[in-house]
Amino acid sequence: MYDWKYLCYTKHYQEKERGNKMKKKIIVAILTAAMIITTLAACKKADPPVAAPTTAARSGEAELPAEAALQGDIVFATMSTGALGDIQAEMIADFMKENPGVKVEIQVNTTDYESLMKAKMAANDMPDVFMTHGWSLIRYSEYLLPLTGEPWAETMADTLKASMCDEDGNFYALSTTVDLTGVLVQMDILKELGMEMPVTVDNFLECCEAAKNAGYDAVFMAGKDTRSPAYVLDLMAPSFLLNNDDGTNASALADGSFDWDLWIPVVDFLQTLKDNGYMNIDCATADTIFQAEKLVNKEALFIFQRNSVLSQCWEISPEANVGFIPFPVQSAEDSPYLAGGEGVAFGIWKDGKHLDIARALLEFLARPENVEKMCYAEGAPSGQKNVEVSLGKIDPWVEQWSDVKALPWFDRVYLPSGMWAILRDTGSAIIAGEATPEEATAIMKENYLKLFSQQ
Amino acid sequence: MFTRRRTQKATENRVLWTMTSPAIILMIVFVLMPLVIGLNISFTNWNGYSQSYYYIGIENYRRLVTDPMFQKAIINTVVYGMGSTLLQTILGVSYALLLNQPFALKNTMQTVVYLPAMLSSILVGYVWCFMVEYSHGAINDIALLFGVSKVDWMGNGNRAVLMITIANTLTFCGKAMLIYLAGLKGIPQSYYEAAGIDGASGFQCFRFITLPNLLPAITTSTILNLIGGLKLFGVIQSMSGGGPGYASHSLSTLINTIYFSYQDAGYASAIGIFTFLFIMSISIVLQSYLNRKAESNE
Repeated sequence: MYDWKYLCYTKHYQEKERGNKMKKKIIVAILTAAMIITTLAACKKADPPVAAPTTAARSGEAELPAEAALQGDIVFATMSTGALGDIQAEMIADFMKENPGVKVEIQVNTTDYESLMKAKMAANDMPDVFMTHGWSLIRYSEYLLPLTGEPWAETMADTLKASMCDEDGNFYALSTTVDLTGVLVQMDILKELGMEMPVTVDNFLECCEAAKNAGYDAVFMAGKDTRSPAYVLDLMAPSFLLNNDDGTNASALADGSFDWDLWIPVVDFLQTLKDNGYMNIDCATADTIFQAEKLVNKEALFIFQRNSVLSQCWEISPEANVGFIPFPVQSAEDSPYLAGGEGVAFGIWKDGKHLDIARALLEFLARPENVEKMCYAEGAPSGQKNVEVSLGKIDPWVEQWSDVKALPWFDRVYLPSGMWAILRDTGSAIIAGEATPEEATAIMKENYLKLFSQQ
Repeated sequence: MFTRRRTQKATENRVLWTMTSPAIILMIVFVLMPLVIGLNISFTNWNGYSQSYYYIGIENYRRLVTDPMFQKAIINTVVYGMGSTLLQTILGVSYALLLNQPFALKNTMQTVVYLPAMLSSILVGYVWCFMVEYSHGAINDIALLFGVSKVDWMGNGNRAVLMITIANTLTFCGKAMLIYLAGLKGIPQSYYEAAGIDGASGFQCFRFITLPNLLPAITTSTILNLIGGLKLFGVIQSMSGGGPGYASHSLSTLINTIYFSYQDAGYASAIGIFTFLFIMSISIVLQSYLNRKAESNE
């Protein structure tokens, strides 16, 4: 009934089809497995590198000191680049030479350092040693090891204690430098205008008016970096709120009962500089890379910036007659002040796997010769009492104002963590004409209350 | 036979699921899970880095209604989305019509127009920064040559939004051009020949032949451009950082600023959920409208 040839062919065809289907299934399974493995491999944490073997003690030699027994790998995170970054890398290399069993991985991140550290805090996965950039107490202390008992703790500069110590006297970072800042000034323009160094806010505004009439930018504002207008608010706040205050404002800020109408004059100062034409026309968009040039080329009289800009000025022109002066105060009876506080500082993650290595590294960085290198690279005074540093052209200015008190940066002590961003945005809005002092103050108040409640 | 067909279908379905399972897993891990976690965080007061937080109900969503920064960001987002899409459509169609003609260096021009789309948006933003700078920017330097005084392009909120929209348009109009070029290639020449015989002018051919036949391409390009414009981040971050003040923030850059700088992850997540719903709604509405238009033209 059935043609045997047809039957053989059909059976052959069916077997071939079964074979093909089987092959197809195998290929599909292999491809799927490969895709899944590739995806999972991308998420796999890298194996930690194997620690280098310690230097074995040769027979007949004395027993190695305890530090040589340090073994392990740690991560060192910094936001420093340029000369300061190079110095830190050199020091890490020297530390590893002294401790052959230790490997230190350096992670450098400049613009996104703060965001990155916040993400790491959220994941509770911090670097073993990391730069605290002025926030060791207010922001990072929850994750930092208290360092009050360290051998170098006794030599911490007294000016740092206000901004770095908590109410129990504990501090959480080694600050190799002290951040010292005043109003940067072009002295040749000041002399040309026949003006004295301003002491009060009124003196300051008179100097600005004279500079404007002579065709200079009285205050150069590099508003493209929103830190620039924020510096004015942050650095002038003590003049309006703390300098002649009996402690009422300081207490009110500490307990959250501050009257924010008192902030309006601080913002108004910035508004006045803008409205009176004392700032450069492109105050909202000028870049910070032109700051040093403006001072060196005698185009601007004052700049509210860190003293490190002076180092840049002297790099462009060693003869540049630039310096810094204390911040203007409300009346001649008030005491002048500079801004100071935590400078180039490093803390230790309290949950790190190798606290012994991290503490040894900080002890290494605290050595006088290393502190001196950091100070020279940063152009800032030492954060350790036992280290005297010569900073070149800035020394006469530091010497001139050695009796002037250094108040900590206002936001680091009197405002909750997170307010610096608000200062930046409100300052930027003021100089761009996007907000009035009252509106800017309302934003400050709203965010202050919210962040204060989170503390 | 029926059983054999069912078995075959079951086998095909198994193969289909097996092949798509990695994509589904990736979608769940990198899209759905973050969405659910973000939704959870939006009901808290988490600052983004502490180990503890509290649930505060719909407080973050209530804040959306009164926050001037959020209101400004929505307006800017709509401008970036709609403005960029409109300009990219006009430019894209224009370039496509031009490049559909044979002429020398046609391929070179096509490459040049498309090139910016291949660059990172952050890089594009930084290049534009140097062009719009007040003191040493290219645009002001050229304007000075013609005796026009300098303008601080990014110093004012509205001007900053305009410059960012222009930068985004010129960067991605190349992608629109490619989509429209492909659409133009699909229009039969016989339509134009027939219209020519009937005495139709160039504009009439464009209006009654080119545009209706390009509707599917317009739908695709408009949706893609709109989503890209509404999600704009890199160009804004590098050109203005959302400033001056908060004048040029989009919803994306605002989320970034509020999460990392303002340390308010809860509120940032609430804005993120709103952004997701906002973009999805607009995309669905626009796609339905354009698809209906395309179907009615067929």
